[in-house]
Amino acid sequence: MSDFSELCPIFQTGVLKEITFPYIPFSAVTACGNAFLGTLTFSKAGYFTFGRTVVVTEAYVRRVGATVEGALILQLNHHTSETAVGSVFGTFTVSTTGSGMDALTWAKFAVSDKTFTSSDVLGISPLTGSAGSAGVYDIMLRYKEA
Amino acid sequence: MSDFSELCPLFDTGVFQEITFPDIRMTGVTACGNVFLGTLTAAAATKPGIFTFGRTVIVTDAFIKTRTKPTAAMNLKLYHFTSQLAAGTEIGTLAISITASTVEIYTWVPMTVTDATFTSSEVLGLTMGTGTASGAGTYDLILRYKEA
Repeated sequence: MSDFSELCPIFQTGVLKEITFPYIPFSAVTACGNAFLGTLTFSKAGYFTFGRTVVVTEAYVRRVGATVEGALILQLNHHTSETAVGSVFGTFTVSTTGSGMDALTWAKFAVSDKTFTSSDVLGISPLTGSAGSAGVYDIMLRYKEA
Repeated sequence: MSDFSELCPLFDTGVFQEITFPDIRMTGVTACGNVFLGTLTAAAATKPGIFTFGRTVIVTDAFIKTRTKPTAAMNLKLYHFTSQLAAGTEIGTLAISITASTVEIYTWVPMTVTDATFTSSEVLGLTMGTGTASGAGTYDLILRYKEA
């Protein structure tokens, strides 16, 4: 049988998938830090890439635990490299009121479609709020193959 | 409509997907144990713990997030087993340091992975190369694989 490994991904163009990043402890992230890149400016060890070109279309966040944490804004960022300045393509405001974000529910980010090439780096950071009480979150991204 | 269930998977060849394994407690694994296979060595045929992909895939990348740091530096190792009882082949490693400069507790760190093909019944493994189980930490794991 022929090797379809290069041909078949073409037919996946536009196919949607989801990926879940569990248990992101923002309380441990400094205000200027990034939960996918870390707070280090040099010799970064942590980063997530998609390994092929995809377009992130939607994102959901779930606050883990019942404790109401400090209000903050979470931002999804796109970085062209580990050390490049990120561009914001998604935001979500975490409220301290029950009506703003119930614990354990999946709430939707406001996302603008963003293309990630194979080596582009995903980032998520708090825009406002105290990192010391920022809480713990699960993040789910929806993306489509490009 | 015709049944495409046998035909359609052919068109997924080479297509990437990801799978997340959350909250892996290496502290609960003995030094010789395997977090996907369990620690049982005797009467191994009754081992309840096993993960297979159920079809042929090629694991290409892996990312680790440290939830709880280990008390001492250690190596995490990804393994491929042809069966539950077979000796494993190492396909990926990541050194976990206890210093902040290498592993922070919320970042996803890529493992060094050599592409490994898993047939439908072959078994995934994750073990410690070094370090003590009692303070081995807790991790989340994302695997990237492509359909073969």
